[in-house]
Amino acid sequence: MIWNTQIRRVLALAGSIIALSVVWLVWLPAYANQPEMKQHLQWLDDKGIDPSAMYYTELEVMKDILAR
Amino acid sequence: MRTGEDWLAIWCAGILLAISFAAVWCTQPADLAAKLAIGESVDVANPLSSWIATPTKWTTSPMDALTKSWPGTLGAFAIIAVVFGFAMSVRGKSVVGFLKAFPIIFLIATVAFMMAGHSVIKAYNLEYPLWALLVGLLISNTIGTPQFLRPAMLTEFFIKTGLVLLGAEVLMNRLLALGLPGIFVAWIVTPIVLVSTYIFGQKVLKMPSKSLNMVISADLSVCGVSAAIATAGACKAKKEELSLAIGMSLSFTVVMMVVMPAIIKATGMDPIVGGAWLGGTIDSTGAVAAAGAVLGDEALEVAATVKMIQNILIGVTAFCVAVYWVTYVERDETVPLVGAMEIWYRFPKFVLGFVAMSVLFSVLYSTLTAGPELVDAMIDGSTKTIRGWFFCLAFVSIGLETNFKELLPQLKGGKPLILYVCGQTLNLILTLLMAWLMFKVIFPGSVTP
Repeated sequence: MIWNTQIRRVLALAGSIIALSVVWLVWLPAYANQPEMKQHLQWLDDKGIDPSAMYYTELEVMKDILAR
Repeated sequence: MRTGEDWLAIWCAGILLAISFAAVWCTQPADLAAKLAIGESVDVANPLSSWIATPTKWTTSPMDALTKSWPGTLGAFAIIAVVFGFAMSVRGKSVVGFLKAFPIIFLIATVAFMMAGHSVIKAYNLEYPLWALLVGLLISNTIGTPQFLRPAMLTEFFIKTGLVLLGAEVLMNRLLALGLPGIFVAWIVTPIVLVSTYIFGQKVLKMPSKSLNMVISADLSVCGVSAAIATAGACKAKKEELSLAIGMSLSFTVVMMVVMPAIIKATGMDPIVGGAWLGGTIDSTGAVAAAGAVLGDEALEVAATVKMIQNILIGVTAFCVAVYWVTYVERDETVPLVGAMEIWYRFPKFVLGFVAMSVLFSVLYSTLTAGPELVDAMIDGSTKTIRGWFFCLAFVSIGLETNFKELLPQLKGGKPLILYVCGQTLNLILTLLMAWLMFKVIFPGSVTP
């Protein structure tokens, strides 16, 4: 019984890792290569914007704005 | 123990800041002052920058995230292991136990950074705390968190040390970057929304947890994740409450960063007013910039600057929340007045470290000959990266300590969600009104295209 529970838990973790791996290693790279998304990512890079910046010091474009 | 930990967090962060600033100071160009005097721009390098990094952005292969950053990632690991190993010995805890567990916790944090580093994930503002939490939760809710990892699961200690480091980035000198209109949009509306949302949660929604009420109020009114972390520390919120507030903030931010620029464009709103509206309402700093850029360079500039001014409010917010908590929320109802000693005893001391670092580095920034260059080099080259690691390690620890079942009662009755929606609605209305009043009626032309 305990053995079954342990196996179920390990399988649950393994399944989650496989699901996450498929998303990050297959789906996201493929999505990033879609022309529209590729263009959007390039636009963000050109502008020096990281939309995931948590604080203003993490935002590259802020240096140019403050310099102006 | 809590107080001891607070002081130790201040010491750890203080030592890291002192070493980083000394490294920049000692290696500054000899002719720096002379070049600045004649108006030449000078880049000051931080010698530690190549030894402290997080995994970088990647698109096709996750190994790209480590190709350039692995020495910096290992450097960050070594620095945190040494500083926290020393702190463990000061606290009388097992250094060996910490050092056995820390590599695994750090490895999970590295994976979280790599997940957050995918360019599409970044473009949607899905920040690393979310992935750190997710990976931790997956482990704790499947195979369970191994006991040997517990000595390195130092959630509060990581958060407090990270916040004191963040204090050095809260530079008061940048408050007037947009003049009075910026102050009004960011510093008048924000406290009104924060206090109103908190009162609404207590009086109307009757939220059972005051700390959850406060963290959500600060999160939506100030600046998302960073404000939630600072306020959660100041009001001693539970880890599940912080996780919930951050989850809601990131979800709404993804929607707002897409919908708001579309509304501004569709209504033909002035880009400067629109930019100020975005800056004052969208929680996350990066998302504000992305949304502002959709409207053009003027809007981007105003949006990012309003957000930056709001970012600086974190220190004041954390300090005021901590004072309110020890004097009103935690007071003994039977005693009419809380004494000064009692306030001092209960006050979260790391908040003092946070404010002290903000004041110290603001003074250095404005008084030293090359203050801006030196302080910016210190922050960019080392301390903001180490601060990121501390927050990521904290969220990994929260995930490893949390059972999914503990998160469910927080959502009971949908009160947190109602609070967020009502608070954000008030924020949207007041910020738009203030942005229009300031940039169109009272100070028209204060921002020139």
